Amino acid sequence: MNKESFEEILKNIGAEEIPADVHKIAQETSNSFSRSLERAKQPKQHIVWEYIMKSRIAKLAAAAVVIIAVLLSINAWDKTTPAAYALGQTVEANHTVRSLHIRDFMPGEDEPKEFWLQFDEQGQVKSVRVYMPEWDSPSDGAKIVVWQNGKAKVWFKKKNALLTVREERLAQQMLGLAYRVDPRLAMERLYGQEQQGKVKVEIDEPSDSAEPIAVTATYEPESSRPGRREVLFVDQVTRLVTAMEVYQLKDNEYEQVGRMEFHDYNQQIDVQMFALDDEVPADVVRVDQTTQEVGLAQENLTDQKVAVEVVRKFFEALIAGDYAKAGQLMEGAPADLIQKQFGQIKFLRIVSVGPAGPHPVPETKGLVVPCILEIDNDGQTIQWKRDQIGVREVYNQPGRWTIFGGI
Amino acid sequence: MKQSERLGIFEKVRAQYSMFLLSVLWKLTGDRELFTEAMQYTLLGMWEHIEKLNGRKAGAYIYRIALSANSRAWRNRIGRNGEFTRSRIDVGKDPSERLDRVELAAKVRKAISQLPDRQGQAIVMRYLEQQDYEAIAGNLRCTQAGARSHVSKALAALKDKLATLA
Repeated sequence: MNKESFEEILKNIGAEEIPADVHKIAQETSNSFSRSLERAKQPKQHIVWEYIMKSRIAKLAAAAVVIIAVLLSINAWDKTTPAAYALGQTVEANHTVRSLHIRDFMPGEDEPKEFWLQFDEQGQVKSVRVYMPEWDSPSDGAKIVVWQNGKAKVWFKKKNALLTVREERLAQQMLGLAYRVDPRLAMERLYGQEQQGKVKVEIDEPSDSAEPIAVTATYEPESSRPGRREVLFVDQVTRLVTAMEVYQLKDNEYEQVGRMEFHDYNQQIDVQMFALDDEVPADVVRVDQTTQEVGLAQENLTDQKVAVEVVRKFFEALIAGDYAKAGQLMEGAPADLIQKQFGQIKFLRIVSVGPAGPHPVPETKGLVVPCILEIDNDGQTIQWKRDQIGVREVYNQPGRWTIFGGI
Repeated sequence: MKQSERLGIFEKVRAQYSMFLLSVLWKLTGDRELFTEAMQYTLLGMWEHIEKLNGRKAGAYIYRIALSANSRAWRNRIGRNGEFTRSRIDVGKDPSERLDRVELAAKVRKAISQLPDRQGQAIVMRYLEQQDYEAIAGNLRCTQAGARSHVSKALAALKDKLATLA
């Protein structure tokens, strides 16, 4: 590299604009640190400790919520799709889509979410691969999800973690998408809705056969989606839906809220696309919730009581040095990871645990449990207090409860 | 110093230098994960040295803390897998050129993280913050000639480091 190009790179770095999501990351990181300082009353060194631990552990523990995030974010501008198409139409007609690559664009973001769908002979979902860009969750970073045989594997590239969970809804949702873009069923659906007075359908077929046919469905004011407009773009030669745009009426103008592009209809997808185990680094941290019973069984305890028990048993396990047990109670994290994170703290005894209260973020559907422990801090016994340890039901393992969101 | 007093100073400094840290750490890392880690280490460093941040020299300390945090974040990354992640910077004209530039930028950033303290500060002030030599001299508390010397030495050191990284 010559000096000129080297200095040019330095200058380019200096002139680089800071992406909007980096502002957000900075703010989140800074605020989070500040909050941890305000909460902590312990000696200085211990605060440092606590902060590092929290940021590391929280990264992994948050993993289990990602599938939910994926489900919610697929076609986020059209959340009613799965409900409308999940079951009703599957028994009425068989779609003709056998494989598909979808690029889902959000306004203001260059990088799309991407979905690769493979269906079997009966039209049921066989394999799914999802790419979630970093902008979707800056703190998580980019993720790849592969679904097969009722299991979803989520690879958190940034966190170098691979999470496996049981998952059925993802397939159902993808099936809904296939119905929606099936060349035959897509039009049938729109015409059916027009006959029911829900939408007004307009078709613009350009004389130039290279231009796609635009099928515009505008929802009527009295429909369930007033102000909404969907435009399907259909290739004049193949008659395949190549794209779908969705608009919402705002201040008397239709504003685009999303665009999906559909590629590679019925072209075989390389099986390696669905072999995530071959793709992840050898040292990836693996958390498999399908091969173990994660968390604690609720049995006949109330939600509040089982939440307290989970936290109590977690710290009992740490006091006993049973990191496998502690990991099981924390999203099923591997013992060596728990040991790495907590092994340096000498927990002496539990002073108090509970009572459980509502989680400050209701969407988590969790509870928070306060607790006080005694720990050894360089030969001195000090109290270690946590106000809000999150506990909730294990994802797709009803009746079992786990710590989530870090300690 | 009382905890409440420490917290007060920390919040004041955090607010005052938030944009500076955002800008410098992003330019030094160019990668969201590295940036987050460097930001965390910087905040930790600020808290650990909060007594020193309550005076006129606060800015100079923050500089050192931020650069040290950046080096630490890079060391962690290098120790983890030795790989560079590709940032989103877009300085090239075609994709292959862009990729080369991105990788080169990552190498330059990594090399900056390995510079001695004052050379690192000098290069950051001169190129990443685009300060003139008068300002750099003021910040480094040296003459303008001294500032030029630091920048020049830093460039030479970077060139050597990049040769070994290539």
